[in-house]
Amino acid sequence: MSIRRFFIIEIRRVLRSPALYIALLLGILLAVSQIVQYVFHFADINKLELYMDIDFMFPHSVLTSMMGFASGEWQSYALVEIAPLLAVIPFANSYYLDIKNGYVKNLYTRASKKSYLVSKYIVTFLSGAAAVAIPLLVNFLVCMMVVPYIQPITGTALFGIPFQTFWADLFYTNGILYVLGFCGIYAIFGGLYACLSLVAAFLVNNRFLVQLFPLIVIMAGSMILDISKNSLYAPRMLLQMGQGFSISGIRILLIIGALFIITLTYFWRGAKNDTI
Amino acid sequence: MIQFKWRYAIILAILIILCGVRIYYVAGQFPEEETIVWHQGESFSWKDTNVTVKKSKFVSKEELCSRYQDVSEVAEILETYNIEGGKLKLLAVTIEVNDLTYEKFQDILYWRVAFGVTGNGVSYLTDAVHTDITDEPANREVTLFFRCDFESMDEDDVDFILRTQLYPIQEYVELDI
Repeated sequence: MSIRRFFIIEIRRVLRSPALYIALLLGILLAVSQIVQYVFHFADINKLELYMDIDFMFPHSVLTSMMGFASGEWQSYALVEIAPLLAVIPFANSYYLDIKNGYVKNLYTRASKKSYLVSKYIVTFLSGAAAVAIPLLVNFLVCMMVVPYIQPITGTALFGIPFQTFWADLFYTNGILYVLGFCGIYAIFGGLYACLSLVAAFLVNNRFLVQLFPLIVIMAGSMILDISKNSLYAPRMLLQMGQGFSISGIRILLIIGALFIITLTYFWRGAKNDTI
Repeated sequence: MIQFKWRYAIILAILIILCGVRIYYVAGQFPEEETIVWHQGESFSWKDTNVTVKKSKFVSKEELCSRYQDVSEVAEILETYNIEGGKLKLLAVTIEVNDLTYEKFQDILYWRVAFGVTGNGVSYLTDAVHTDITDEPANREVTLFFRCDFESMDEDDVDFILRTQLYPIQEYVELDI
């Protein structure tokens, strides 16, 4: 069987898995709670039309109201904190279970290990990416249905993105691309979190530990970074669309690169693993 | 192959159309942004008043002090905004206003300077000259002082604008410094 054939089988498995929909539901509940708690309130303020009477007042818009931008909101922080858990719910322990219940033996007799391992990695990545990024996209979409999208203006001190920060130019020229770009970053992190569980399949012998592995790695890694006074490298600091903390593209690339290299050990261990 | 299901495609299409209509409706409730650009020396109408930005230049601490009678107040301002240190500079913008009243003067204090129209750059209003403004309309010159932070940018590479309105009409004056 080719990689493509395996990919279709794995995609079908993940789409039929209730776990995917549970993960999406949890994330979307978080996103919708932000809309209910904050954005509806902002829409009510907009109805007063104060921006028409007061100089230098801007109506509440998508880029001041959605997750990551609204002042005082907690949901964006919660999403970042639970991302390692959300990402693994849909499909991340499937490789471990495939080994445990002997499913891989059936596959390895029909096709190459490589095809199976590659397609498993891609589908696990996509499932994790979807679980983390879709809630953010839903929040963005619903937010646009409640408050207007108005292109932010620089030099007003009204918008959360200060000058000389990561993608500030993009924010002030095309805010939608900025949000979609950050959704992409969230998706990559979510995908890599899920793929960490593939590595865990060789390290631990418990399905729950396999699922908790990314959370443990991220928490331990963040703790080490905090202690070594490099907390700006921690994923929770990088996944800040509102840029409450200093973000740099290099730091994001470094952490993505490090996580990617860790997940690549799955191929090495997977190829060595003599299931049959 | 994964079987394509028309039922789901139709439901998805209906959802997308409903979302699109709702987004379009919400956006339609708000006036569209409009941008008006003026140049230094050009007269323009602002709140039924004729306004002209006469000059804009960076000034020294001494020049700022000369505008105030109470020197201790100036010292406090300088200390607060650290104008002397680093790459912070003080920009003085002189505006000629016809029929200036106290109310309009208060509104002028909200005008802001920005470095460039898009992209990076922000600055903050620091102080305005203590001018005795009464409710009696009079033709007056007002000088506003702005603190400009060049910590992370080169002042030669940026254009300065004085923003007089923001929404729904974004109106600003391009400054020649």
